[in-house]
Amino acid sequence: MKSGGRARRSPLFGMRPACLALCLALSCNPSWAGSGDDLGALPFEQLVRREVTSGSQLARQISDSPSAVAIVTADDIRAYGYRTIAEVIGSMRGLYTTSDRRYTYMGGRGFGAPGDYTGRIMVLIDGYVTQDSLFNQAYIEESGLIDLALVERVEYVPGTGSVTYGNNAMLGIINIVTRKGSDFNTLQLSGEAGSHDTYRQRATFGKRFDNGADLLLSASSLQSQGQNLHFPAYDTPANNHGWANGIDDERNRRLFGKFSYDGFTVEAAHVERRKTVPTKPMRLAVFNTPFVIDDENSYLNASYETDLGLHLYAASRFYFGRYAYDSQRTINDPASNAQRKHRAEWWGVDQKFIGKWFANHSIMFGMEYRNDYSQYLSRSYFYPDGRIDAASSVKDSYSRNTASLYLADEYRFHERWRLNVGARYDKASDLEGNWSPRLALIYQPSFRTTLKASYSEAFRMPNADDRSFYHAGAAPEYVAAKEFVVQHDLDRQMRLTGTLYEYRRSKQQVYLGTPGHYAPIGNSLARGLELEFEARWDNGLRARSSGAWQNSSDATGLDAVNSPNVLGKLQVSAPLPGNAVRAGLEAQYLGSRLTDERRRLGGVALANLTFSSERKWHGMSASFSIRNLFDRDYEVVSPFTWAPGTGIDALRMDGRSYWFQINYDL
Amino acid sequence: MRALLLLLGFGISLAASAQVVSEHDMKAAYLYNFAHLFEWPESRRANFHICILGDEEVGAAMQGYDEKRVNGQRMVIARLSTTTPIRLCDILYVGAAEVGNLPKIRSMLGGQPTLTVADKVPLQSVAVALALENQHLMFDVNLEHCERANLKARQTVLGLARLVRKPADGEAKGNAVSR
Repeated sequence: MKSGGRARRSPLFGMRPACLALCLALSCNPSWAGSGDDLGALPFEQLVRREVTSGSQLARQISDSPSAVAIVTADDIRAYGYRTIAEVIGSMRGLYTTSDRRYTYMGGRGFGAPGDYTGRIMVLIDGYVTQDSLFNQAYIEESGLIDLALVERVEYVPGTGSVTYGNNAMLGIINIVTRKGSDFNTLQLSGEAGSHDTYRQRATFGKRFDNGADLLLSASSLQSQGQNLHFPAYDTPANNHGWANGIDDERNRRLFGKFSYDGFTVEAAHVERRKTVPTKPMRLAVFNTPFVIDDENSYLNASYETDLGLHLYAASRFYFGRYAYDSQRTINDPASNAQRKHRAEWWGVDQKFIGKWFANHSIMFGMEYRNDYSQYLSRSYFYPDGRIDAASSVKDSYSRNTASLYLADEYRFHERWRLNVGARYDKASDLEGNWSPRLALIYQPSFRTTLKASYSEAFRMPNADDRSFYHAGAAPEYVAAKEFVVQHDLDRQMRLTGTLYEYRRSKQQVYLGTPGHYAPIGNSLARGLELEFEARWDNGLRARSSGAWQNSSDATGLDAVNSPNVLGKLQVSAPLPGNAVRAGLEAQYLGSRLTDERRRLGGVALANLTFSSERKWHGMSASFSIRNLFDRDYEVVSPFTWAPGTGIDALRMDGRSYWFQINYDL
Repeated sequence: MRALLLLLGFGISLAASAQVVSEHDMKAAYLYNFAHLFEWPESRRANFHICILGDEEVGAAMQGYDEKRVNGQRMVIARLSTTTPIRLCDILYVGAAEVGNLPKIRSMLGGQPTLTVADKVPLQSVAVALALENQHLMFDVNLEHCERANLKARQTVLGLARLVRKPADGEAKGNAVSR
């Protein structure tokens, strides 16, 4: 035995005199330049009580992907006062969002054409694909499934993801990781108040049990009165001089629960949102009449991860999802009451294995079965006396099941080189089978530098809405992407990332000039460059700044609509004197972009400022945000042609707004 | 805007003096302490080997403890790139990049007196599992693993652990979390 009961020697005794002298001369130990003080000299009892900056090193990507992942952590969410996934996405390199006061849509790398919903990107919550099965829409504002207070981190994995996820992962993947019960370990109550009579209440209970089980439960609700909005395109006496009054309200309710124990996790979420839409989103819609939409999304996701022995690991997953949409509006037609009622339900199982049989290979393979057993779209029109206009009403019902196989190998053929080869095969009941391959080469000349080059192909099946709209012409759409990435850590606190990419899309639907006539014959191209600098210094200062330059054309060969050529982001946050409050300043530049009528909207720079408490005070924490700090008047591209001929085809966005949040741990 | 930046700049300069411990520095300090807080079977080796596999940053931070003394032995820090030499390690820290190899590492080590430490892994796969929670670096101890490796944990380490997994029935003892 090593000498048992002897008191531990001070580590200084172990040092050589020369080193000691040097340390004294420099009044710091060169070996510990990063930590500032000698942690080794502290008794362990004191050491364990020291606070550690969670990732004072830069956040590392979880996703195993040969692209340059962007990460927003819970710290960033607090520091910059993000309230929705859309705001998180808007802060990321090369991405932007567009709101039409109904939904918020995301765009980037030539994706995000108006009317696309958030359709060609995948948004995952803890591995569950959140898109509904009717429109493939990801819900990223208040109709989204998750409260940001429950989010541990959001990762954006650019580059196609069909090799792993199959259908629809064309532009990339947004990966949301939720927090654990132990991150709260109490009952937390939260209240928020913001501009336009907006309030939110939330109660979250988290606990880690002695046996290692972890439980997180949360419920929240939001109510917003909204604003009276002026739309210059309708500024006529008959249209209330362009004012839409009292029809901008919004409310939502969210529930979330997660339980995990020993590799087993079951998670469920539900959101219902009602929004009154103040715009006139369809030609027939009547301005300044209530247009109420209800979106409801729910899921259940159960997974079990285990080590099967013999260097084989298994991850099994079952999921169930449900989406419901209802809307009511007044239209300019004898049957003036237009109602939509869309419903979808689906379930699936996924069995994944990871084999580590060979020293230099990590082999992943598995299969997924998904059953979209109910896809129901209904559009009905009623006369004022309640009779239905049966001739115009449409009811469509679809279903689809998809079986998929996937296989990928990461081959470390040299200490500094890795080859990543994978493919996924998806066979849907109504479509031909499709292969999505990916090939990537990763080179790490040093532990600070990584170079990645990849080629991948992805596809998107026509969804239920496409099938209802294009009928027999509905067809899959494809993209082939090339990407080159350089990541270099200047030191453990600073990182530079550069990306060059090219996306070639094919078989896009093209309008043939007569109503209802489309053909899947379009091709388009997007190329771009993205640069990012990221730093988290030990003094608490954090900064991230990025620029993206993109050039994209649409299927007609013209410059793509709503695709800015330049995007800039800057986020700086630091503790204020006294270290009680952190200030976070964010600036975003959205370059000039074309509207649907090919008018160019000027670039706009926006700033947001947030103050948040750095630590809890008797269980209390708070934050205060100002969005659009300088009250810039700006417009975004409207996803609908809403006032042809007026020259107004953009939507004015909100001016300065305020938001205050207070949390209390019981 | 300028006033704002000035304000921020002022805040930054004042905050610069704040003491913050980074995660990898803390992990290195824990590994250094574990060398004193566990008991290894008698060894005739002159050196005490702390190996870091699959985490360059912890490896770099650990370098600061090279040549320190632990109960008469000289501490040698080895930053490994493969699992081949792990049977020579007294403490083996397995970083995120190599966590997938834990079962292989476990079978390679067998009953070898090596204290395996890893971050964010199930406790059954290592002797000590680290976890960052509420800005504190927590650790759980798996006594079953320690027993197999012929290592003894001192009372100090058991008292400060968040969770101790007993050998016989695998039952876990809860310990009040720091708040």
